[in-house]
Amino acid sequence: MYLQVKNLSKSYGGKRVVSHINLELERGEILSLLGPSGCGKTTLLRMLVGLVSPDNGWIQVEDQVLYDGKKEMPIEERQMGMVFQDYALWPHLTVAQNIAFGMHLQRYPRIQIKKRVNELLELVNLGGLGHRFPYQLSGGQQQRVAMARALATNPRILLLDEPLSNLDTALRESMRSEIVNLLRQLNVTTINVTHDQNEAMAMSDRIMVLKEGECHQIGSPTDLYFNPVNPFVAKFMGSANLLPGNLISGVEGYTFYLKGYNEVRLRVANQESIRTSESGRVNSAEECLLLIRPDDLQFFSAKLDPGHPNTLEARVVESSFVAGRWRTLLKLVDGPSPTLLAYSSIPTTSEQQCWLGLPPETCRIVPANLPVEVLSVPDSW
Amino acid sequence: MVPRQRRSVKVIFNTTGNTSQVNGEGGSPSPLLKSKTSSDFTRTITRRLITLFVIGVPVLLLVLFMLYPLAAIILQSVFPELYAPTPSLALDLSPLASVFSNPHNYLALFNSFWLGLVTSIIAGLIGTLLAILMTRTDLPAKKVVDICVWIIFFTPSFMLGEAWSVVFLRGGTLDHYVNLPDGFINAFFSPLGVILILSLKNFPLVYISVVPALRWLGSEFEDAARVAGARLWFAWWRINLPLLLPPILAGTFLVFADAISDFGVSATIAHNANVPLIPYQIYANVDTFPVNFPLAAAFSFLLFFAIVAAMLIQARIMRSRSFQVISGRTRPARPIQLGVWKIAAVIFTLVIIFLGFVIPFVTSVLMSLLHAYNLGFTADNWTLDNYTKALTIGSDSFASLVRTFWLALAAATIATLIGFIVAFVVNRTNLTGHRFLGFFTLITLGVPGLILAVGYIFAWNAPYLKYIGIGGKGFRIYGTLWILLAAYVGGHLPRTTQLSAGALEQVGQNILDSARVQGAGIFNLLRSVVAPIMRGNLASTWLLMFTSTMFELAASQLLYPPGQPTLPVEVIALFNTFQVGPGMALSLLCVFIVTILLVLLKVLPSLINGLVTWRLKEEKSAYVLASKELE
Repeated sequence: MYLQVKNLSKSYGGKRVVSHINLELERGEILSLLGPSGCGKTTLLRMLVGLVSPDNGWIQVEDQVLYDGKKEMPIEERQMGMVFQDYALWPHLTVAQNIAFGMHLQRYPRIQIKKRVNELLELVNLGGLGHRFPYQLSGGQQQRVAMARALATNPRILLLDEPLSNLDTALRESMRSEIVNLLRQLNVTTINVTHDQNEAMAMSDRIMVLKEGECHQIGSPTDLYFNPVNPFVAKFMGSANLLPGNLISGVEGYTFYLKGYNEVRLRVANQESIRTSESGRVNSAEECLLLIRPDDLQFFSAKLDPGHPNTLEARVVESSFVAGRWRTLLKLVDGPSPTLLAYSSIPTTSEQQCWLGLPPETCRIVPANLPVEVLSVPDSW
Repeated sequence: MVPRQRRSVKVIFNTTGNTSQVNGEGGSPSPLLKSKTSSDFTRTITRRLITLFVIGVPVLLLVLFMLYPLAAIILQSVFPELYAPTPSLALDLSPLASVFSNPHNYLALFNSFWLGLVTSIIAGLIGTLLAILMTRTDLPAKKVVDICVWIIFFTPSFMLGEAWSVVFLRGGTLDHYVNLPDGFINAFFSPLGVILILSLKNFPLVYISVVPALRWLGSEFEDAARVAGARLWFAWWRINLPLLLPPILAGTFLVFADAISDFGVSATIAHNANVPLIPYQIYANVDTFPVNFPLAAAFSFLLFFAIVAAMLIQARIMRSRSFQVISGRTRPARPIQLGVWKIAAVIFTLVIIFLGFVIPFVTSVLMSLLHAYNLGFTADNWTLDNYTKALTIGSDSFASLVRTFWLALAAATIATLIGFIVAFVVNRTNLTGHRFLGFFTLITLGVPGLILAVGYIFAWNAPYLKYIGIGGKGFRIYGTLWILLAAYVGGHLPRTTQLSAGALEQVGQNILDSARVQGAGIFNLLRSVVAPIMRGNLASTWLLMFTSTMFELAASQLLYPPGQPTLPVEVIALFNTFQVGPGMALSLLCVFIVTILLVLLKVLPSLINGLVTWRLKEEKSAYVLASKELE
């Protein structure tokens, strides 16, 4: 393993900001720390770079220990690179001087520095702007300078602290792919902090979802999207319809009993998504949630024939035209279930009767209340 | 194994020799540059040593030249025999008691406090009113008045005191022509005159404190009140003045601390008027026969105590400026149309400028051009001799001028540099004791040169020092110019620290963090990042320190090596022997040097390097208020 983080914790005045984080990273991997603001993701990042002292834990890069629970390696000796949210370019130095700063400190020969600076400037599409001062650049250009500066010293790990949050939406999307291409090309091990799940999904090999300092799930973007371990992750990774109920294992597979609707049974074909309890069998008494993404939810304005699997009757609550389709809020007929979201291709009116199809292969099961300690252990441990 | 997401990667950058890295799995890191070995043991040790040196030396200087002398005063005041040839730790509170029991001592104590109190009230009123008139009204020539106020701020109090004394002197130039009535002269040479001089000298402190706050305040709060139906005066009374109260009070407390410890005034006009004040009592007890060190220590201790109290209150008030949270606005405030009040405002401003600036300076210039101050403006009384004498190489006056110039140059440079580092340690590190250091530099902010010098006499002339090779036959520091330099540096350190700290607050933490991540140790961080960003502030701090050293009287008077007086000491000696002309000439030369430097440092850079200053402004808007938050 390239980077190993074990049991890392930090509290501020009794409040746990980061709690028992375990993490392993391979060389060249891009990981995103994702979570709402205040979830401790920036603190975690700052502990890795040395700007914040952990309370306890272990940080190791290759065979060098950066933090062993007591002693810390000074920031300046860690050989990390970091891109700050506000870029933190030094205002009194030119772009080229900004980039060359760290190399000067490591006493590289001048000619080599000059060559390297020009290479980096080309790499981030800023060729010929080395003599400018940071204030003479646009936000996106400043961002690239910050990137080039962080990469200049060949960091063992590159840390990005919400690097795109100060850019406007259009620029953010193009910078996102530029950065990923650059990191891939250089094979830089990267940890990216973000609160934007789209950014995390577009940029990362793996994502760690954090909430209140605890790791809720770590995995690939698809894994997190399709097989979330709890309702929080399910909702945080994108719009989610979550229906409470019980799962019963039968001869022909799994059947989901929707809570409050004794008559309604839904077939769940996707075996992968069903997390079993520690005994290895699904506990039928356990309450769980059925997850179906709005994109998978089929919308019908006419009654379906009885052979169609997994249908529910619903009423339209509200409908609005967003991004080329009708974003429709629905409520199941005669029941306590929460409001559902579906996309329909046709306009609807309020209180209109309609039918929903839940294709069994898109129905996934999310545990309702799995203890967090169980969740935070990565699969490989 | 860790799951790994496959993503299609389109190569948009094509750099030389690097395409092989695209989509690389595992493999070696980018080979653009060979990375050096990280855990180089000797390099780590060197870094630690540099850190220790960068931080240790300034702290050591602060301890030796500030903490130790101040501790010596406190010790001396309760252990009177501590610094006797045969030291003894016998506790004796009689020196402290005698301050209150001896009528003469008690009078000095009483005078200092009530004069200081009245002075701070008057200076507070003048300063506030002038600040409001200069920033928010349609008065003409505001820039000129502003410059005059700054000149008064820089003018040494002994010059102001002597100039006014000469005006009212029996047999002086004014008396020569108008024959002043006794009552008039007696009224001036009394506490009244002392209050007048102290108020005129110190109101700029309040002015300087209030003007930025007024600029910041703008007119929006007042406008909101007027929209809500308040008349102008009511809006000011109920909205603006309460908002301005913290800077007004802070300035006023500074005036109090300055007034009760002003040696220049207590040695000139107050001494002439027979108004005993604490500073002169201290001086008399350590410098004139018969010396009474314990009593001087007791006075110093009480004065120190009062000043620390004033500084703490001042700091508390400044911190409670809750309204500062609102972000600064750039829109300039509307000037108030004064209407009929304009005449009154003009008269008020003219009177203050006339009393504080015109009269003292005209008197000084006239006196410096006359042979004798009591013969009037007759043709044969005009002369340039005072100047030529002062500028003759080899004369005592010229020697003192040169000496003071070098001392000021060295003291300002060292104090600015070290204050900058201490400010960094206090505000931006977590080193053990950084909080104490911050607290110490804050409470010692108002320690006057006089008290510090008294502390030096005890601390650096102590009998026990000869056992460690200092004094006696060993290495001499007391009685040389070095002790003077040390006193200047020590006295300036709290101020340079606080000034740097203020500017440091404006530098975003991320700018510093990013340098650390890039591999900068504390030395490189300070040299390559922090100092260049703060260069403007460091330059003005330096200038302030240079100026105040050029005019430093109290510490110089007590610590100058025999036969090597500094300029203010020389001037006072001339005044005391009624050589007003030469004294004034020398003072004015000093003012001239300071003005030249002021112009050089303020105007020259903007002339030569207009581009740089423009750039600095731009930087400020973009970076100076960068966030300091953690998350």
